[in-house]
Amino acid sequence: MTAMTIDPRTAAEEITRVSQRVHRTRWWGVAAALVMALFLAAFYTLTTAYPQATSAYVLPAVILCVGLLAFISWRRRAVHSTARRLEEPTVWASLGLAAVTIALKFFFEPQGLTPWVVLMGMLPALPFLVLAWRIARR
Amino acid sequence: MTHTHPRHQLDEVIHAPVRLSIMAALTAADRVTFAYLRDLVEVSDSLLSKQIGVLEAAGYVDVAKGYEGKRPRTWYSLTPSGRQAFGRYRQILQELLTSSTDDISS
Repeated sequence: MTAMTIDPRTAAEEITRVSQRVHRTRWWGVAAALVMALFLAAFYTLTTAYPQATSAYVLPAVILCVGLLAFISWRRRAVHSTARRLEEPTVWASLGLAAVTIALKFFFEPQGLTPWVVLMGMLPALPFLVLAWRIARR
Repeated sequence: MTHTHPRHQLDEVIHAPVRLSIMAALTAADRVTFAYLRDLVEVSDSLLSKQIGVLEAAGYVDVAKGYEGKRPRTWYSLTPSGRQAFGRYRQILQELLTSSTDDISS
């Protein structure tokens, strides 16, 4: 491109180039959503299955998760409209499902790592998995 | 002289090398940081600020300054009129490209 003028073909190519570069940054949003999903699934599953054994690891796990999210936030220089639109509803959906998980835990008092405990533990993670998928697809 | 060729309808605010790249980036993402935009478009801080100033004055770009922890961050996004203007610009660009292909093949 010259300093003052662009021909239409060059303009169209530049739009495509920039769009593709910007779209690639959506993977940071996907990474953040997957970190949250993994942390929530592990947290709820393991604290339900082994409450005594995991109590000492909760704080370090939270610090690790927050650290990863902070790193991703620092590196994330472009926010895509899908992410911006869906992040808040995702958090609320996850909180709602976490309440359901806690209620189920209270009523059924599951013991050990059973398939039901794993399914219950996955519930709060599901909205973040959906968010990751929605951001990843174009 | 009447200006009937589609190229006269190209928005001059957008149809400039750096500003076109900025508009394309802000269309592809909801908002981007200053540093990312500068690295993407490959210009100096001062040139980027100047071109964004032109887009802001035209009402196409919104600027939001804030902090992430202690780090200051400036975010840019398109206004609704900026999105509309860029959509129109792309339409006219497409017409120009189509008509130039027709001219060659005829």
